[in-house]
Amino acid sequence: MTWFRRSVHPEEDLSAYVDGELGERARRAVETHLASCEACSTLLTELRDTKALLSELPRVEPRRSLALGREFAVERRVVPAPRRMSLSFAPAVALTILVGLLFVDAIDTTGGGSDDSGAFGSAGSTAASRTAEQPEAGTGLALEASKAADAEDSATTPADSAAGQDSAGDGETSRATGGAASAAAAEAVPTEEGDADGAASSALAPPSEASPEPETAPEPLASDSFDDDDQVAADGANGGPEETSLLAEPDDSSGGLSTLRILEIVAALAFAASLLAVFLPRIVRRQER
Amino acid sequence: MVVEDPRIERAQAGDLSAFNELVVEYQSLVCNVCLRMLGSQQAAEDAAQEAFINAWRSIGRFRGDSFRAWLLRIATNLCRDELRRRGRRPSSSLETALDAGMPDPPDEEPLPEESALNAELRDGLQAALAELPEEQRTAIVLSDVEGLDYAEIAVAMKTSLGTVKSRIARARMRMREVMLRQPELLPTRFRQGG
Repeated sequence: MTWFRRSVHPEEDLSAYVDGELGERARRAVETHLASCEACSTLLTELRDTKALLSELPRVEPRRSLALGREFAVERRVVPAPRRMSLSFAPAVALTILVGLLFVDAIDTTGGGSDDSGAFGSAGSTAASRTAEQPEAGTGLALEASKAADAEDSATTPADSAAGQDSAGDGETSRATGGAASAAAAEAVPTEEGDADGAASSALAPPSEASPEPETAPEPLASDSFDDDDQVAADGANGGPEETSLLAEPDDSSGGLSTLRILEIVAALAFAASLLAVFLPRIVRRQER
Repeated sequence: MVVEDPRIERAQAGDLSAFNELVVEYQSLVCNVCLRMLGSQQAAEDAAQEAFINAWRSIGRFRGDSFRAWLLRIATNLCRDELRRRGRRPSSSLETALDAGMPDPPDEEPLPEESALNAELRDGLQAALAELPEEQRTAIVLSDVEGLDYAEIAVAMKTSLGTVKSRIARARMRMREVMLRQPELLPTRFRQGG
């Protein structure tokens, strides 16, 4: 390397030498070169002068304080962003589960009593297709969503405890498949409100046996973001419990279908609630600007 | 290296007054960097203000050990955006030519006279800085105007030490050439060397 340093004037190293930023070996190489190269000695002086001139440029003080006004205090509350970002996937997950359930429902009811479930199914699927594009927009704006999660702090607290339960039972998730999320939804209900307890826990058991095949379809998404499901579930539960218990009663007469129907409603509510949780704060913020 | 400032943690927890203490401490630094990047004090104050607003909004994501470097990265990125915006602004060729080499029109208030350099030399240096490619300008402003070391500049510019070293060297060579072209501007103590 020495021959290289001698043949070419080491301008870059000279500059770093001025700043005292060279390692021991490079510094000695530069000093050796300087001893024998007049041009570089001159250059060294000029580079030092240039640095000195720049350091003497006048400094200014801002003519006003740049401290932020009170209006900024409300804008942001505590949150490490990455964990909360996941909420933006919630609508997509809830929608996947809902569609899965409707699919199961459709298969189950083709045998008999198709009139009222058909009506529900088509209404659900049009709602689904109408909102299908929105979750994608949501994932693109994950940051905004994290702020949305912030606004939902009170709502997500029970979800956090549900998440704890869920991770404890993680070993069993392989058998749980897509239905697990809705089961978690049902679990979240009793922690929130006592009166929905009966309806929720009765809804808890069936899904895993009700539909071995079709529910495996949403599995990758669901297992990918289990925490999200729990958050969605809790969000849905907040708005939902009373309605679920109301709707559950008349369905009880029609036997086997009712649990599936309850799950559909829970999933639909979870979807709606998560959409609200993600998008409402954004809309509010936009209007504030 | 840099001791963690408790005010940073408080600001991350949403304490605006803690953040504003940091603003007071760093506003002069940020403003002066922006001034040398953009050429006018008004533009510098605007950019610095925006930098602090952005910093407040994203302080939850600050994880480094140099808050100063992180802040300067936000500020210099804003300056770069501003320079690009100016570059895109439609203007006559004469204006473009002037823009390239000249600092912004002077502000209403003159710069303080505390500097050892006369006005002509200051303008000459600022014009020479304005001619540098933006990345070289950032590097040499942080190094020679503000006195940051290479490691901190590398953090502020999100690049390697080697890149910082070469950007500073190239910037300094260019500044030197510009200064050598106008020796009459230099203080006497600099003339004998060249």
